[in-house]
Amino acid sequence: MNKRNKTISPGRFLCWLAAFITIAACAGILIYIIANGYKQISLKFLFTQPAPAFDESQAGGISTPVIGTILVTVVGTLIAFPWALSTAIFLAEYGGNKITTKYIRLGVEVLAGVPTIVIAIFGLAVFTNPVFGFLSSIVETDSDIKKAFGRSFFVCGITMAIMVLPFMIKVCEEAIKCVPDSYREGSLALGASKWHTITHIILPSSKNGIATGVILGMGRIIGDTAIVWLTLGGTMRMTGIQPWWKPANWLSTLTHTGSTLTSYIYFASPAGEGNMPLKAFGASFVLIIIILILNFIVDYLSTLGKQVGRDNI
Amino acid sequence: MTEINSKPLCSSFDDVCEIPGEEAAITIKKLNVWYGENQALYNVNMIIPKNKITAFIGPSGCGKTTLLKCLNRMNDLIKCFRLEGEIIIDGQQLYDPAVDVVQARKKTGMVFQQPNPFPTTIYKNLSLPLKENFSSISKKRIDEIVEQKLKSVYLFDEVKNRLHKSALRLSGGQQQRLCIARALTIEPEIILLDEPCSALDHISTMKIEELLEELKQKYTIVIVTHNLQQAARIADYVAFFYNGKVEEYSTAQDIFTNPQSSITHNYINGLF
Repeated sequence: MNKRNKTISPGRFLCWLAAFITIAACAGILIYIIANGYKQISLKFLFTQPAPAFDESQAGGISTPVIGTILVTVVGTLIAFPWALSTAIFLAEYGGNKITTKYIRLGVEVLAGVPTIVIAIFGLAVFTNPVFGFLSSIVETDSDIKKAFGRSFFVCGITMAIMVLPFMIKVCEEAIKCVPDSYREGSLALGASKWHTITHIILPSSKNGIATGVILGMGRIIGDTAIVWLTLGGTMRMTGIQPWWKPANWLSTLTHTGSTLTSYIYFASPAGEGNMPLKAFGASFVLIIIILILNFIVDYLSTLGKQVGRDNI
Repeated sequence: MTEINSKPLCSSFDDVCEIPGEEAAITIKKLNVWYGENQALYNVNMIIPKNKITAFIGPSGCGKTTLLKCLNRMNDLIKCFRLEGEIIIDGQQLYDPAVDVVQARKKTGMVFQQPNPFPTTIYKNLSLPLKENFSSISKKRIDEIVEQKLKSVYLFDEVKNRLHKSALRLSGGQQQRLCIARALTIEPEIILLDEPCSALDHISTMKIEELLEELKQKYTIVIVTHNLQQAARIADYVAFFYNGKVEEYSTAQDIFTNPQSSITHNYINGLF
């Protein structure tokens, strides 16, 4: 081996160090959360409702925050996905280089840059309008002014959809644009209409990319706190008609407040408004596991996309 | 091959002439095409005869693929594309504003330079256009047509055990034959091929050439090729394009043995 290979240049060392610190930070967070959180994990912790108490051992579990996270994610994704996909199809296939398309793209960029707390404030402002009372509940005030409460799983999910929309549009548009033009030409040359080409050739070809976008978007919804904090309210338990899990009460549950894992962590942690650090670590552990699983799914989807000529189609 | 006089059939700046003894599948009159500021075709007049193989040859960038794509309105996808003149297929003006492009494309199947099977199963590659074109078609009928079209491109025996496997796993030559079969599913009258063999090896090329000889019994075939031997082997008529003009258009025999234009002569003798 010659001498050159033995010396490491300062530039190379700095790059290596930067990469190492990144990994170390990631590993540090994971290890810290796992080390502090894993002891909390038990069936009882996962399946009982939070019951804030002075004695932490009596403070219940995280069943409703987990359900809350699922509810907000499902509502948000159900609204954001078709909306984002349609917009992405318009931008990628129909928009062209027209002025309107440019403005739509600009709008998407701007929306992507708006901090989530601002979107949350906006959501709250809109949904406290009594017109949208059916999404939460109507608050009777002393005077004759009627107002909607503006905090519920519905409101939170819709606001989350707006938050995640620009991201999903971007990813879906990129996925659609990655479909080779030869597929489009092949289909159009067969006398297929543009819409048939999009629905039968382009979307199936880009489904992995689109699925990746949806799952990453779900990850963002699950991880967001500011919107939950403002539009879902400050309650740890479900506040709809009890028992909240009965099908007859589902609508009531969705139009009332509750918590998600992120808001639970905030309200449980002494750094936020609580006094239950161990519970907060337990919830963080569960949250991290959920996010990790989503990331593994995305990883799996991207390896699927690389296998040319796969048969699962 | 039809015996005709050795006079060139048609060329630029002439009126369209009849080809004796041939029925016209496509009539092209005074066709001029621009991409933005660049004129790609100059005053093309041509009759493409029915149930014959017509080859377009010429150096790169001479307009042959442009003309081929005009016949299927695939150039509509290009934004700065502009066309003047007439293309008449089946007595119908192809570029009439009233024409439904989607319907018009169904008369002409197109096969591209790179095999472009859809990233799905072999079976679905053929059934998708069938379902799009014949909405109430039965599953049994689809199966029949898929088998028949695969047989007509001599692919059925090679793929019959993996119809429901990915088309992307086929070899290049098989993929290209699948694309031809796919073009046949819509029952076109004309098949347009844009250098269909340029990405294929010798044996696959031979198979496709044999196939085209078969198919011309039922279809009119227009093929763009860089391969002069190929044009000589399979074509009945050959158009030589140069700088956006049809320099010479005649029977394959005349073009290759007795070219009228010195440019054509130089080109087919490899003096370019």
